[in-house]
Amino acid sequence: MINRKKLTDKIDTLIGLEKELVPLFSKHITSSLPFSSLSESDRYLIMEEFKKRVNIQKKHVDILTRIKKDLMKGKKDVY
Amino acid sequence: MDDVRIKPGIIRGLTILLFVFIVNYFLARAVFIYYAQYSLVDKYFSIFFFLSEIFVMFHAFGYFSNVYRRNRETPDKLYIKPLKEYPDAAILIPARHEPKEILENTLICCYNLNYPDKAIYLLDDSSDEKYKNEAEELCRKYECNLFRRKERHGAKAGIINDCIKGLRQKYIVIFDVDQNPLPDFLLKLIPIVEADPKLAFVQTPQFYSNLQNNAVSFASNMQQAVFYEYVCEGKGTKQAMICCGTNVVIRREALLDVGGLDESSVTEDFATSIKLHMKGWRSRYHGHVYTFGMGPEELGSYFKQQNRWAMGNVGVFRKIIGKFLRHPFALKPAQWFEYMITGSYYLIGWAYLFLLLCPITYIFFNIPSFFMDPVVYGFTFLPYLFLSLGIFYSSMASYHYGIRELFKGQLLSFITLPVYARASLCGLAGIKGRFQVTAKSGARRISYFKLWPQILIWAISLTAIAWGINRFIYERTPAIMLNVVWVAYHFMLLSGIFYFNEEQARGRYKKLLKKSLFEYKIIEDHASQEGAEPVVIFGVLLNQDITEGTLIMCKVVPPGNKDDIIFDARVLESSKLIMRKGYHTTIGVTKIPEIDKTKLERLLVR
Repeated sequence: MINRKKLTDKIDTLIGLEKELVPLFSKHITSSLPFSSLSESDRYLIMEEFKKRVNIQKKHVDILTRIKKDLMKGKKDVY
Repeated sequence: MDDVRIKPGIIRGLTILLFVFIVNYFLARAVFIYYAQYSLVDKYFSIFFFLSEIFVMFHAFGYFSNVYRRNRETPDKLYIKPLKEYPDAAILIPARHEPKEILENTLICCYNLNYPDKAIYLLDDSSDEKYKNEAEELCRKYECNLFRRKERHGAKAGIINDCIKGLRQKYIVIFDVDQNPLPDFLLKLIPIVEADPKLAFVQTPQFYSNLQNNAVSFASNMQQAVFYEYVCEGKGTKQAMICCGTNVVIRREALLDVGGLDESSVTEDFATSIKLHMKGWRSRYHGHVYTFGMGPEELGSYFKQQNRWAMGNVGVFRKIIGKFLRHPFALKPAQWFEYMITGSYYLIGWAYLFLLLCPITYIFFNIPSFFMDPVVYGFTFLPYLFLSLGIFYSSMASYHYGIRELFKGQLLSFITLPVYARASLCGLAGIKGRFQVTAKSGARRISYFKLWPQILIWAISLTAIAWGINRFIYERTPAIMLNVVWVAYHFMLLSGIFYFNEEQARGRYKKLLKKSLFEYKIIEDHASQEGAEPVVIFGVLLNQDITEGTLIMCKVVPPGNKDDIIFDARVLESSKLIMRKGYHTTIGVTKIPEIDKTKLERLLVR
């Protein structure tokens, strides 16, 4: 059981994580790629993968934001 | 980093040859000094000169013995069983007056760690209300425990000791506030400590992911690389790996066994490591990067960090000598050797300053006059010099570090010699330094008045070169030319002070340029150049795709100013061509040339 306030706070935290984590790890990992033993093409694949992840993460943020809006509209306080 | 080793047999053979060259040079030098006819002043110079050389070569021997071991031994096989139960772990993040965004990134990453039984503790030592409020807010948001104490003592070590008194977890994990662990950090490392009940801690490397921000962060990352790739690997094989104070998993029982972290030193991690080893605990280095952090971005904060490390390490070195004399059998010879090497490393400031002084005094005063016969010198010193450089660069190349990149790290070390000298003196004198947090952002040029020791040596070297050339023209003595070459080499290295101090100022343009209008057009297409220098970010509108290495013509139009700056630059990174508001758009990164720096500063920094 969780009340609406706590639930929306949790969703806010999740939205924060979704927004921050992928770009953060992307920055960290791409900075180390020149010193890895990976070939140019592998490095490129990793960069592309991060770009894809950014798009997925945007979708997640959209979904979470929608859920939060729905929660705010509803009258229930305990879930 | 991956376990990449190229031709270990060759590196081993060359390293043995290098040791032969070191002994050969010493014998030759000792014979020449012994038989030379010299005055009293010369005599003193000869003693200090010889001691300096012995010191430098002792450390070279230490480094290359680690290279040798690393290329001879396979790291201990890890017999790790998959965990049936996950022992609990407390993640400690000591912080004091840290920028909110840096703290938040670390908390996010710790919150995101894949591990069933973890508890995060933010150890907030801030006294400023603003930082205290931010810490409370972030702890609420990321479900962290906030730990504060009433009385400050022992800085970082003190707050960790205060916190662990109330903890019950089996393992303590320490992250500095700017260190961001990857999600599997605990899943990878806890099984390693769990597999060996006598293992006190497992240490992992640091990697500065802001290395492309400016020259200081880049060069300090290269120094870290040298330390973590070979020095730590070597120490690990000798059971002499030291705790580095962050990115480490420590067994709480072991830490309590030695009375917690040593609060008497500003390098509490190093001081605690020897206590652990003397009590029979083991340590391990796990050379895989699981954590990304931030290095210092300006010379001021870099010098502060080095000052603290030098003062702390040399302070601990005094204690190591005492321990060695009282309990010579408490550690194995290889462990004592490694502790001596680490503890005395920063005395290299004095050794190099003296070696730097000798050719200058020779040019001005013909002192010291005991230089070797140039032929003997060539046959004994040069093989050592070239072989050591060759092994160093080729062994680091096996970890994908280039000569140019490593040279920047060495350049930064060289201009830090006066800092090492001062700090090591304080350490030897037992002067206790204050624990100072390394600033993580805000690259600024520092006043050259504050860099007076470097500037003074630089200016004297320049004068010595001029005077030496003048003397050589009239006297035609090869010894003078040899010394001029050495001074010129030192002068070139010391000029690094301008490179680092001016380069870091460019970091500011990054933010400032975002506010400006920006246009460019492609004038030439080129392949990306390896080792291209960083970095200024810009956003532009364009109807063509660009790639790395493309040469572009740029125009900066500062707001409200008609005096545009036009320059050409190579693209370091770019997005694909995208449509934005009906326009073809590319976002890219490039670097502003030195020549436009002053102009930009005048226009943008107002």
